[in-house]
Amino acid sequence: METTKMTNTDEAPPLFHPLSSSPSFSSLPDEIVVSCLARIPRSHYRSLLLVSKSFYYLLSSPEMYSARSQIGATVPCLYVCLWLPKPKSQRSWFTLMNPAEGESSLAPVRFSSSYAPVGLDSTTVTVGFEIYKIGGTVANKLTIAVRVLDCRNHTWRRAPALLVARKGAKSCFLDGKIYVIGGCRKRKRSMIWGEVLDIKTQTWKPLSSPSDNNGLDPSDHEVVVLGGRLYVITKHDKYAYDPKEGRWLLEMGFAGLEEPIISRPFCVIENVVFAAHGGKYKWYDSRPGMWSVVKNLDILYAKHPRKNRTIQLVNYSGKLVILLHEELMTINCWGQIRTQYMRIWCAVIRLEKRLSSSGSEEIWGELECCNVVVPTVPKYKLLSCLSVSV
Amino acid sequence: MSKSEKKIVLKSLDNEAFEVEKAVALQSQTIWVMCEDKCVGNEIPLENVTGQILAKVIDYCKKHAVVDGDGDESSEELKNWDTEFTKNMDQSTLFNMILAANYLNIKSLLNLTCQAVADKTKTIDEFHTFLNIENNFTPEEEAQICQENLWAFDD
Repeated sequence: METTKMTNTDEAPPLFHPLSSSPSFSSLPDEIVVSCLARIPRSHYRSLLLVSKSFYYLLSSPEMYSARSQIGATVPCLYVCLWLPKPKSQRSWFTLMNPAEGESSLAPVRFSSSYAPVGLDSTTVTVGFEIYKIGGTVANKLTIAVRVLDCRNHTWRRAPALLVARKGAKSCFLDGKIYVIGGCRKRKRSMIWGEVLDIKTQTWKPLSSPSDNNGLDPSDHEVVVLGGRLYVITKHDKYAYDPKEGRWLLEMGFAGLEEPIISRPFCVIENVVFAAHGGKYKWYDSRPGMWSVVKNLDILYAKHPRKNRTIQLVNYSGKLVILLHEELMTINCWGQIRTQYMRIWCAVIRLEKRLSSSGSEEIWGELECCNVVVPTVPKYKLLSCLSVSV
Repeated sequence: MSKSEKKIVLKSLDNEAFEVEKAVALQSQTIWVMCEDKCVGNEIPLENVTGQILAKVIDYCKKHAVVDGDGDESSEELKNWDTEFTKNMDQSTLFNMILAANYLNIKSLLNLTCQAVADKTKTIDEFHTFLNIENNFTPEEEAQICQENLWAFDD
């Protein structure tokens, strides 16, 4: 093989004229240009699109992703899906830029293929460099459609459809499979609880229900992955599923876990559940089975009084990202208070586990940045917010 | 092994000859293959590399061969040496080094020089000036890309 390569090199015209004073970067072979670009922080890419036409194509090529993963330069990137009132409703996916460099901002995602319809109430889940957007409603109709966003090159593809239409389902990725739970209106008993997509074979299978009683209310449950198990939590019950044994378990544990997370923002970071509860950010310590406040966040609380509602918590590669909703009030000419505009803030918090003097575990947070990322919109809906490694 | 077998002569495009230890030269996969397959004797012609660039490549290979061999220098020191090596290279030298590393197939040198390009260029202006790239967008195309990537909430 090496010999063939050599012969080729010998016969090929010289790549450049080495005696010419200054070869241009563009005369380098594409794979070298890609290898150089892969070493530039991804946050610079947006501005580098304008360098030249070939850059524009190279930067969004799948080769860029391969080059970055080869040199270990893939980075977590936060994808935010917003519904915005017309005429901007087509601009619904954004990425969060520079979240660790003082100030973050949202940049629209430029899709290189036909754009997936803006659905509501679908559930989204990250699998590697892809985002699965599952079910929901399109034009007020329930859908079984599953679309996949390849975040390396921002193209959409179809994936096998759900077995039954679901709206407001919850999903998670565990052991090579996507679990979609709840959100089903139909009374097909065997499928009503959930279904599972095997990523390798790309086939859906129904997930048996843990007990003989009925299905789940569409928006009344949460799905949590902890310690390699899937937990479905409702107001009254908790169910644990072991993917290795392929069955629901009776033994539960995790006393008191449910209350702060049902219908509230929460996320799991390294097997610790974080939630926004009672105006504070808390974490669940599974051993004593209790919630504790994340320490050292007074700066954040000072910036955000309780009226700024937490709308999303995300595990951003080990950091805690918080999205907050703020309402800006105005007084009209009749002296009435009106909500005029809304804004979304984004805070990024670095977390650290410490031992207290009494020997108990504490989690401390350090605020890395906190600023407005969506300024003054009359209305919006946060559809999803996920961290993807690209 | 006789002394002559341990040495090898590399000849540049502009006919400059460099006598180096075989262990130094064989870090280049290309030279390795040439030695093995072509039986060119002790002199290897390198048609794509000038003497000025080849001298630098040999410097790099010497440094790395020594360290790999006896390990008296820590990887930290080697890293610093690498940084210094590319730090003050002008654009033309850097490109020619990349092309030479690619032609000679020296992975670590190619990585180092690509990283150097990445470190020296982060903004559009740096790409246009340092890397000598022509902006071949028409003003209309440029405006369209700006529009597509505009901050979404600017009115």
